[in-house]
Amino acid sequence: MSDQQTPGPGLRLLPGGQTPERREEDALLGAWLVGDDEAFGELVARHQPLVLKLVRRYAASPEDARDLCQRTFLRAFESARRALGRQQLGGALPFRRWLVRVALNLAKNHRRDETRWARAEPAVGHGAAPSPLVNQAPSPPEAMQRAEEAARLRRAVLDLPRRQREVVTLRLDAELPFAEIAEALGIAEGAARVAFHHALLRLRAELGPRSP
Amino acid sequence: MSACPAMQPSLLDRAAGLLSAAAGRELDEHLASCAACRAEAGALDETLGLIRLPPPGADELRALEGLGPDLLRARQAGRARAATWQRLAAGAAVAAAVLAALALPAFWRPTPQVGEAELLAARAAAEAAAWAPPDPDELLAVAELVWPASDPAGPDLGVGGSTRAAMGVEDVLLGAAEEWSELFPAAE
Repeated sequence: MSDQQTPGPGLRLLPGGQTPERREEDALLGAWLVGDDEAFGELVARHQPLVLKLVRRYAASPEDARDLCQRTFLRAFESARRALGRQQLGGALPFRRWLVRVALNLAKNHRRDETRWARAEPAVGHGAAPSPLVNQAPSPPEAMQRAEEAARLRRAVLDLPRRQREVVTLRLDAELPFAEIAEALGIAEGAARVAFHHALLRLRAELGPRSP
Repeated sequence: MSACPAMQPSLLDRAAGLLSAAAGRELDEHLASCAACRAEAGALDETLGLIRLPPPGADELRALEGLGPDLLRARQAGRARAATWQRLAAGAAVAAAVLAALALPAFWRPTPQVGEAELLAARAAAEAAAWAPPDPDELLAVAELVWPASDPAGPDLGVGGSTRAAMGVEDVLLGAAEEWSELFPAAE
């Protein structure tokens, strides 16, 4: 069976609780806050893949995903600037955690707005847009069937209770370890695991066995 | 046929990638001999396979090109807008202060600082000057209304109490008029 107890970024902990990546990140953030634009670009490049992973399940199109990424970064940077202005963090700037939280909140709001629009215009889609990864061009019946199946799977995850949905997004999409998931959501690690278990059982019951 | 209840947590941990090597080996041994748990493990794997997203496609990655520079420009534009607003606000504040300084002498009138005790004394003096003793003739006219002079015995209403009461009123009023006349002879 799997030897990977916590697959994901594989952060190496230092005695002081700070990883080298975290210290580098703090230095970059500090440099940006005093006006270093290169540091800003480096921070965006470093976290862009993570933010994309967090939002793409909620985005109806690649442009949607880009918009969510952009807003996530802008809000997280604004949080960092304000926190530094208040000097409330004592030098530790949890930028990555802010990014995760902001991305999840924006994605949730995006999903809510999308559902609202879908209700207002029932002729569009089946209550939810298909996955961004689905080719939406006119296609033969087989491809249409695949698109419908993808939309059904997407809806199944997005319709999970909020906590379960967040844990599934962070675990399956962003591939974060449960310790980091718990930290980002402000819950115990055990609670994050239990939420994942419940989500998995619920999805299993809802999606049903595929094989005959 | 459902999985062994005792093994369910291990099956879920396995699906979540949380099993240690030792626990994984133990579960493998059980799966080799238990068809129900094997089926459950397969169903969980299949569910995970269904909901797991494929890696980002070329169109998604293309849409993200230039995100960093765009964000930087957006932040710089935001800072420039904020600085412009700050400059405008500061200019407006200075202009308002100058206008206020110029207009103040035209509208400002010094008001004397009067104490509360002085104010009360002045009010009492004004009330005393305005006071005048009541006119005895008016009081007698009121008494006439109550008890007309043409009927010295008063109206016989058949109620002794009312007559006595009317007499009492006249006596009181006449007595008061006499006292006021003695006290304030100038008013006569």
